[in-house]
Amino acid sequence: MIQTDEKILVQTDCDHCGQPCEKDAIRQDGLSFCCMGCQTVYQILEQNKEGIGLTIPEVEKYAFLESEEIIDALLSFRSDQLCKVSFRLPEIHCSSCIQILEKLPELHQGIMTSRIDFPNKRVSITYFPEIISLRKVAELLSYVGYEPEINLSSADEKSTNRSDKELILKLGSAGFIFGNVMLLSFPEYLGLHDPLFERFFGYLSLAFCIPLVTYSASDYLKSAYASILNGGLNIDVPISIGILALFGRSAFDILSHTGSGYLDSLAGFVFFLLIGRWFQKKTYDKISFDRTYESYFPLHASKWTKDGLQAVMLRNIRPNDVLYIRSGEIIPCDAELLSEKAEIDYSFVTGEERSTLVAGKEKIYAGGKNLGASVKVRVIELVDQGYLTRLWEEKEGNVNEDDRSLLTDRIGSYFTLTILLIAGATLGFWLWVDPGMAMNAFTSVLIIACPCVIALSIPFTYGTLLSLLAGRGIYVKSTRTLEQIQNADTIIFDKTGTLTSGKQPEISFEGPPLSQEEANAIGLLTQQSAHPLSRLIFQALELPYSNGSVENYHEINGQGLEGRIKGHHLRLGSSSFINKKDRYSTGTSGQVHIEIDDQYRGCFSIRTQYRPSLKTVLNKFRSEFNVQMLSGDEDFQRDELINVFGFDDSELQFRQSPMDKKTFVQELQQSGHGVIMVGDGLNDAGALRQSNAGIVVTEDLNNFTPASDVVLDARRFDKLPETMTILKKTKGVLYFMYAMAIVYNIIGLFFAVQGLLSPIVAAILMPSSSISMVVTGYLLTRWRVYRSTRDWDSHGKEITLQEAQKLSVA
Amino acid sequence: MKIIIYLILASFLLALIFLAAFFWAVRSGQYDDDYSPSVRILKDDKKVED
Repeated sequence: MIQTDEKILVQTDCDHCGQPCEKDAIRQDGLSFCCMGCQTVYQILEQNKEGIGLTIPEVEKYAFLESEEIIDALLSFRSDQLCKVSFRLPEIHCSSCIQILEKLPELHQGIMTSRIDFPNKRVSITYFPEIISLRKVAELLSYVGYEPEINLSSADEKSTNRSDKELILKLGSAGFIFGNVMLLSFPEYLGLHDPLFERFFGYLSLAFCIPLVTYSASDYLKSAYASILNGGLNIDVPISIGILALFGRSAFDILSHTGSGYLDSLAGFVFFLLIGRWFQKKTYDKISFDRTYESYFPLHASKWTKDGLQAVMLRNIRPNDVLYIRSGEIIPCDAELLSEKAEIDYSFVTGEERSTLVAGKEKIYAGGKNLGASVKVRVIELVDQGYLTRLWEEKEGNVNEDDRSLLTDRIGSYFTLTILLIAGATLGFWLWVDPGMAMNAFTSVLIIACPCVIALSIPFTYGTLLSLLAGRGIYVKSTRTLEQIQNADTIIFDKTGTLTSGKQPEISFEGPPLSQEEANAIGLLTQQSAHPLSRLIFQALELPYSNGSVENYHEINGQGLEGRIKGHHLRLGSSSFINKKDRYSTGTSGQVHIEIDDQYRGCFSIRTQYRPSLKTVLNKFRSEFNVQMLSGDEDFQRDELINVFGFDDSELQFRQSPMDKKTFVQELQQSGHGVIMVGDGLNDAGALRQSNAGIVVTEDLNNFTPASDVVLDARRFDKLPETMTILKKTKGVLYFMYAMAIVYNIIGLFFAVQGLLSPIVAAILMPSSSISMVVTGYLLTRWRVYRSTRDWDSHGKEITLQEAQKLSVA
Repeated sequence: MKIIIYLILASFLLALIFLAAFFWAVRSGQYDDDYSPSVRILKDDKKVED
């Protein structure tokens, strides 16, 4: 009944590009392809071989590309013979995309060259306007599976690029200066002295370091200044103190011929700091790239075809497809309403609290949530999955590129205060004992107190951790989320959809057998709802999807459904919803009662399957967290939960509405607990948002919630405790690094307070501490993750061969 | 030995030229995409047909 076109999980290689096909492989005629692009291009090339010319289908939406004004606005170069245009292609995701898209000249004579800018997902095409029009170019791109996103105001592309370039330029200059200054300091390391050269090298190094401080290190100085103005002390403050102290002291020593300065340490310091920032940026870029493409969660929609409902991935939806949007589901693209009417909640898009009533043939916009009965819509325009992700980010606050860690800034402020105290004490001491040494010792302290390990450790450890976890099916929003999880002491599980999986429960009906008409009516009613129980009942009835309409459809979250079908009033839901004594109840299974025309009709008993290994997971959590479970259902499964899964009575809460769940979290937080919420996003979105860290467990639902800090593939549910352990152990790595930093600092301070900090000692101590700790931290994190996840099966190798064969035939 | 000073200044000048080239290369966008070139070189060239 419901087919999925992307459940192939056996490893095969794409027959076009040779890359291994991942979970969304497409199969046709016994061949497999890793993506639509490969499939289409394969077909085109086959046709070309057979001498069939390429006919590019017309796409109505690109008609506007025939207008002269628009052409002028979009083209970056225009002449009678050649035109150059650049499009953004959100579909680009792999190296084969590059191969395919750069083959465009082979597919059509009118294309001269095409070149991809992979990180920005853009293609630059040079074409012959006499052979092909701009509109046809767009249609060609669309045909091979890479629909261009045409945005006339592409101003934001430029700004991200500029900041990337700035960092590379600063890093490059810092490296340049570092290398040269080190060379110039070399004679000193060997203990050679020559007054002429010493002075010359000194002045030259000083000259080098001026652009170092004013250009390469400028971001740190600006940030520290801003932080002080705001009354706080972030990690950039001690860094800036170090930089200025190094430069100032060196300048003084060199210009007054009393020493050779510490410029080599300064240059090395700035260089390594910038490397750290660059590394952090690369990690962030990788995560946000994958995230725009997959959006961290597989977004599906249900396509209405003559063979029934088909689940399709968002990027396989084409204009004019008819989609079936159930109650509570989000509309994934701009569409025309085919049903008579719909009630849409646009709060996600516009912030509008009140819902909008839409009439047939009107346009519904992407991101709206269907509140009423299910509707059918015809796709007008596909929206970039990144658009929806961006909505999420705008609503919740962006993932800050700096991703300032709370811990780093806090430690930074303690560090600064301690160092200032020590420096002040040293100054005071020497002024009293031997004033000549005072400035020497004072500046030495400021120089050697190196916060670089602190600044670098979190990007290198947590950043590595985030990308390694993402490769294993656990997508974490930011390093701050990791910290929130580490500081939490309570973990709350939602029941339906989280502890229970949506698969294969046993359903039986208790009561006098249903007539066909009654069954049809119940089927139609449950068809409207996206609630797991409704869908289970619908599947159990084994009816085809009906085109019928339901009047006065209401779905009350966690309670039930009701509506009028063909003049009969149906109510379906929990016993408190139906408000009658349950006559046919048997106690322990989930019960959905039915009432038709105010007459009690019977109930569906549903034994839902709990996730495998649930008991182990819960026990592991119990040793470290306070475990709670919230459910919107009745407490019919209380005994089972207590006896089988070891729940304590105090840990269970039933009949929780979404508002109740959120309040529950709030109350815990007010009494000082850090709360992690694990849910499926359906009716616990509020609680997820409220909690310190919200984890959403996704199977293949057509639903996503903007409230999640972590998105967990359902197949990884049993790995959740291990993930927490990994986080804890990574924190251990961090503490180890901090401890080593303290040791290095103590050694350095030992020399500094005595005024014995020669440039050589500083030059050795500072870089060696930074490099050794950073490399150690990075390697330890990687080792820790590999060791802990070694026995995790690879993402998606969980289908049996028989199932795969069945699916390939279907 | 004063010659060393002149030598150093000369090589410094040369190094500055290279630094300027680096700035130009980054500004002109050569480093914007550091992924595609690695894939591009693996592409088969079109065979020359007689």
